[in-house]
Amino acid sequence: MARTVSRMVPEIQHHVVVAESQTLNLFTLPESLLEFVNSGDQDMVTEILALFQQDSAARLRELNLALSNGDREALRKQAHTLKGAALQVGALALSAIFLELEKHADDGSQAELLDLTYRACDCYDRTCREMLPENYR
Amino acid sequence: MPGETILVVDDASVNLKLTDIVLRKEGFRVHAVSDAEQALNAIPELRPSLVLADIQMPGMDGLEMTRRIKENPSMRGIVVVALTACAMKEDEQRALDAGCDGYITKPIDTHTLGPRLREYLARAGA
Repeated sequence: MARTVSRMVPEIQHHVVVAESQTLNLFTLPESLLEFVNSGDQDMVTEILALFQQDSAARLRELNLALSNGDREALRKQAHTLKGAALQVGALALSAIFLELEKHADDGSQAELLDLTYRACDCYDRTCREMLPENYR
Repeated sequence: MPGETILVVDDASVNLKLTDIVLRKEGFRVHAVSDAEQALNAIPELRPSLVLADIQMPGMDGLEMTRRIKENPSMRGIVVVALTACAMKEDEQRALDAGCDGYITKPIDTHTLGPRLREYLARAGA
């Protein structure tokens, strides 16, 4: 995902964004989902995390498309939904980047938004690699 | 009160799945749809006691859906609870202004979701 976007991103100064997201964990299963694991419902949590990955991949494609088309409102809405879903499953760094995208959807420059989108895709890839059963069982 | 029908409306499939699981465990009957148009179409036959709806959805948003429910004499008795993003305090007032009976902030707390909905139902005398 990140590689796809990086081809779209020109040389950009990475001065814009998201110091906060760099200090947050990629993935920490929240207590509300951990409770399911502890009560023996690991498969349900695995299913929810798989759903998150699948849905987020599709939404990231829509977000990229909105950015390419200059549709800032569509971009803001996708970022909003992605932010909430990431927070729900404990993908904290990813949620923080989507929050920045949502906040700057209206007033950010195209280069800033491309930079954020690249970071979101990269963070999504790394987060998905952390969402393995051995990391929450 | 368990056994009441809850209609969940959210375009984020993760939230839809999680609320469905949690509310079924709490003993509610759950019907989940991904947009407001589907919800309005489902209500006459489903006759839910409560609609739990995301505020920000593509197409018709949760606020407009709530207004339509509360303007319709055959639907206005349904309890509507908004799901709002925790960082967006203004969403909470907008939800109440649109006619929502209450709101729950995201991320969804699986411990408190069922009890909160029971509270709203009890308050409405459902």
